[in-house]
Amino acid sequence: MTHQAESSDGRTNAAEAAETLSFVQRVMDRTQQRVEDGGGVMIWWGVLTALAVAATWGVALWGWSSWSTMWGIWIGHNVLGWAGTLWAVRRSGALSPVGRQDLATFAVFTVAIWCFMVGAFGSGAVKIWALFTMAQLLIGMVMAFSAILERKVSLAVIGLVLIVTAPVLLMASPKWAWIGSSVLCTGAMLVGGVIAALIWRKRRAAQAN
Amino acid sequence: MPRKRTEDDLDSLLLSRVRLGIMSALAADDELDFAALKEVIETTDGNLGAHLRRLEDAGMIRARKRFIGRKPNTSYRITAGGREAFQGYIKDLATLLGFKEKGKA
Repeated sequence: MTHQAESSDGRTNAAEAAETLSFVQRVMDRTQQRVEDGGGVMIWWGVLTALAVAATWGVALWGWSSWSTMWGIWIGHNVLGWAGTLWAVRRSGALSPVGRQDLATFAVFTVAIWCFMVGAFGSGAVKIWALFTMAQLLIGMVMAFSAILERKVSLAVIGLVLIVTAPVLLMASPKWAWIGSSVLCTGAMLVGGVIAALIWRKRRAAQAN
Repeated sequence: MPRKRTEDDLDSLLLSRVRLGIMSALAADDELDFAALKEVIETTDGNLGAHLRRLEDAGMIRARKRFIGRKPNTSYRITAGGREAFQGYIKDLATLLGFKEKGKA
């Protein structure tokens, strides 16, 4: 018996329709909640970044900073971050849309940051303190994207401020202005990514409705 | 002689709570595997499997089978036709609800 037929013989009433719609909404909310629970990867990256920044400042303050230590910290950060991410993907099987978006975002970030770092440090002597700016940029990115996914405006603003001020700090010194402009390009790419992510989310929400 | 599938057939598929739940979950997320659907719908493996097969046979969802490590994994996506039927059904319910409420007023 069809829905229309039920309507015509009077067995489906407004209460049943309302209850069915409420059931659909509950299932959709539960599904969406499951997607949002997948934020573990984001937390993993956030914690790792905080640890890496603390370690970077720590070794600098204690006077142990060297090229190998700094590179070791950040390579370790990336390797552990990606190992955790891929483990989570493998464990969950099918990735949620937000998970796929996170993964694509992190992949773009990782490639952009490493291209910049290898390019900058490979082409000439750059002081170790420049790494702090990179760390600031990374924290800004993690904060901004976590906040956007969680829809926390104030945190997103702080993240974006960190992203923007990192290249500005570098550009303040004429000697490092070229690095600043490279980071600024990366920052612009990130802001573009944020906008693209927001548009994508809006489109998906419209499709689901 | 096989009967031609009509809009009513598609609607009747959605009268089952489990099948409606599956369609709602897949409308909210692009792709869900069996385990995720079981978690969201809260039903048994056998029941869920049977309803998924019916929806797949009706062309409302599409299955993708693969191996993740050594474990077989089946994930499901809603088809364009499935999404259209689901949205139509929801629209019908909303219309019915709106009509009744207007009638009451």
